[in-house]
Amino acid sequence: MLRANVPIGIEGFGAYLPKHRIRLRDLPLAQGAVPQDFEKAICGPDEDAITMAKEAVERALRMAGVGKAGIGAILCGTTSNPYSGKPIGSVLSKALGIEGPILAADINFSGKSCSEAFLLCAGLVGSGMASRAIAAGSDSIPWGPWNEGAIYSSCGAAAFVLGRDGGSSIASLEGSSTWVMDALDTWALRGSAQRRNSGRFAERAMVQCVTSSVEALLRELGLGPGDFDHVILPQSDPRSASGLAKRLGFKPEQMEAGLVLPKLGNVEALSGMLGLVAVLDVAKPSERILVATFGNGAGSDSFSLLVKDAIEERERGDFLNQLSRKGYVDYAGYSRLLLGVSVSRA
Amino acid sequence: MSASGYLREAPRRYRLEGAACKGCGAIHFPPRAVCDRCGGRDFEARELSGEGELLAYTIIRHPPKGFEGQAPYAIGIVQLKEGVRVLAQITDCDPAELREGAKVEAVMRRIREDGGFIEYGYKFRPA
Ligand SMILES: [Zn+2]
Repeated sequence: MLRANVPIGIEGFGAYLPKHRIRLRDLPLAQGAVPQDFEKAICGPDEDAITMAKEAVERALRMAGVGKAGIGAILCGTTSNPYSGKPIGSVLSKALGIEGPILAADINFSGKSCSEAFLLCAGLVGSGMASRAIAAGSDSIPWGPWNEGAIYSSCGAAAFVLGRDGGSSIASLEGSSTWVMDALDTWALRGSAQRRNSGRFAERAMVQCVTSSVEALLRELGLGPGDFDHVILPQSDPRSASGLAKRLGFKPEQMEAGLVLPKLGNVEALSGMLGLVAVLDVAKPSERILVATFGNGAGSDSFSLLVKDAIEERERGDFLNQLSRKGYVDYAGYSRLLLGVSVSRA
Repeated sequence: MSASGYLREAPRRYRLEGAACKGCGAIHFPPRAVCDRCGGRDFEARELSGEGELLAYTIIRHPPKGFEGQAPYAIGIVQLKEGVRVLAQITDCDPAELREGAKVEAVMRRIREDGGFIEYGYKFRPA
């Protein structure tokens, strides 16, 4: 198990969702193949992973209320940096006014990039290398829209301010676990927009990585499936989370608050971490949260959080507000947005 | 615009950093060398709230180079809470539904891609 030398806490969290949504049934490839009421977010013509990350980080810092002093690192998990040769982290450091002696880096290319950023930030704070660290994740739809695997691909950003666990933190990190396994489950070659998938083997890799990671965490913490009030499992498609829950012994009611796929789609690098934001928006003191993420060809991270009394003092509900603040586009509008073109008709 | 000129202006473009006059407290955006109220030359950086009201706007249907994909879009004059007036693009809205007096808030968005890099800057969206 990965556990820092000093206790780590979340001091603030935030998310950003673009306002445009499309119902999956309006995507030509999706008709009949997906649940009819699912929808996902799509960026406006002037948004990308950088602008969304900035908004999420600002919201997390506002909730933390700790100012910018002491921030030693800002790490961003993404699969869709608009630059192929320049990190998001440095743009964020300038946008936030924290340029200088800060470790800024991007964690790239997988469905668990944001949880990797989160655990690395915990390590930096836990080792004393930083008093505070920001773990962000941000993704716009990274794959070709007509690629079957991208039906659920969505847009959004999340951010967490991590610091030493104390009076101001809203949740304590109890411990974490990770499982890596080289798998050619889903992958893409550099320079190619085509995503390759090995079919049934892909599902087997996910099940093996996630169960290995979660079971090790529970064992090390001496906890069982029933000890968690909220559980967030990988939700890249409608079947994966429920299948994993059944296998690991979690009940549907434990999964409810953190299941964002139906309303938001799969925001690749941070889908599970957006589930965590949704849970933290409603969690009560003393509740325990399990998060497990998965990245194709990257493995699985899991960690356990214990919610603290201070969460009641924070203004919450921003994520749920953003989920309901939306405007629908049709397939023509969606295609225009993917090309970075306005959908307004004024 | 050159990359170095762009980055020099980044604090105000990315997060509305203005200048507060140490002599009289007047807030200037964009920052300036001499205070037009007291003549002072001593300033400190001040990040503006980004909260404001749309005073007037116009809809651009025939955009200049670099903005083609965004048209039609609105450009408006926003009166910020701090008293400063800013001219900027209004985003996340149907321009036909805008009205004067609407509450707006600043966001950092892509402005355009020019000179081989992405220009980010402030716009306003309905609050
Ligand atoms: Zn003055």
